[in-house]
Amino acid sequence: MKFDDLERAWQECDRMLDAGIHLNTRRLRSCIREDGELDREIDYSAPIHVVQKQIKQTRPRKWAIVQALEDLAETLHSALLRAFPNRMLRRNRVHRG
Amino acid sequence: MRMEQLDKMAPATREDRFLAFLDEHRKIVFKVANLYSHNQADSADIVQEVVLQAWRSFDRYDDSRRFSTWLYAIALNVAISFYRGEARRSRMLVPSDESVIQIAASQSQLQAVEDQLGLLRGYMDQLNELDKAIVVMYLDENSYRVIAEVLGISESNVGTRMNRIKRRLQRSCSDTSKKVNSNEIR
Repeated sequence: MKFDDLERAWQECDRMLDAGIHLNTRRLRSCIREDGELDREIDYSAPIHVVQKQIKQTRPRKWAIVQALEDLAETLHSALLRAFPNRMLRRNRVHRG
Repeated sequence: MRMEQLDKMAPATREDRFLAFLDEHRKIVFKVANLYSHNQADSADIVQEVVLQAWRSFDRYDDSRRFSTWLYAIALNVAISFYRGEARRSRMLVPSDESVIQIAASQSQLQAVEDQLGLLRGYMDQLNELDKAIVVMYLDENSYRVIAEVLGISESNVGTRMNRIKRRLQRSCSDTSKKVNSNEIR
């Protein structure tokens, strides 16, 4: 695959979306009229580098602990998924031998 | 239209103008939301959050800037926060049939769009969220200057990253095809 393939896939998707998607105006109007709970501390139209730094600085410490635990759980989960089939295969090989 | 004129507009007119701008650039929001999520529910949440953040910032929209550039910044910031798990997901939970942007197509067309998006996700999932942002904007034919403005990095940095991304995508795909070939030989 070359980058050209990605470009072609993108153009094809773009062409499909031209006529394929539309705004749900009724839903949109009701959303913006009840815009009460929004995060107003950060201006999301600023550059990504700036906004992501701001988000990191303003998020509570509790969130960092939760995130660390989630990462750990994900690592353990994928390690178990990798280890399980290997162990099963090895066991089968011993039985056959 | 100047900002002073926008300020003097009645709320309904400003709302209409916002909707018109958004409608014109709905593909940006849809594509970013779909490429940073793995299911329709997450994608609908991102779309809604992008629209709300854009509406909230619309008063401060500077018309010397292209609306698409401004919208890219909001869409990518929201999507990256969501991707990193920093968005307030619990508040959202938008039913997919109530999404702000809907696919207006037959079942077969819907499947074709989903397949095409899946293909693009497959290519892009090996990139980190910032590299993905660069590729999305590059494929939408934005200049390095515009990409640099949205990311908050220099134009030369965008160029360097883009070359690295192209090499990386090409290398990973040739590795995959080598594996496939060797499996076929066996």
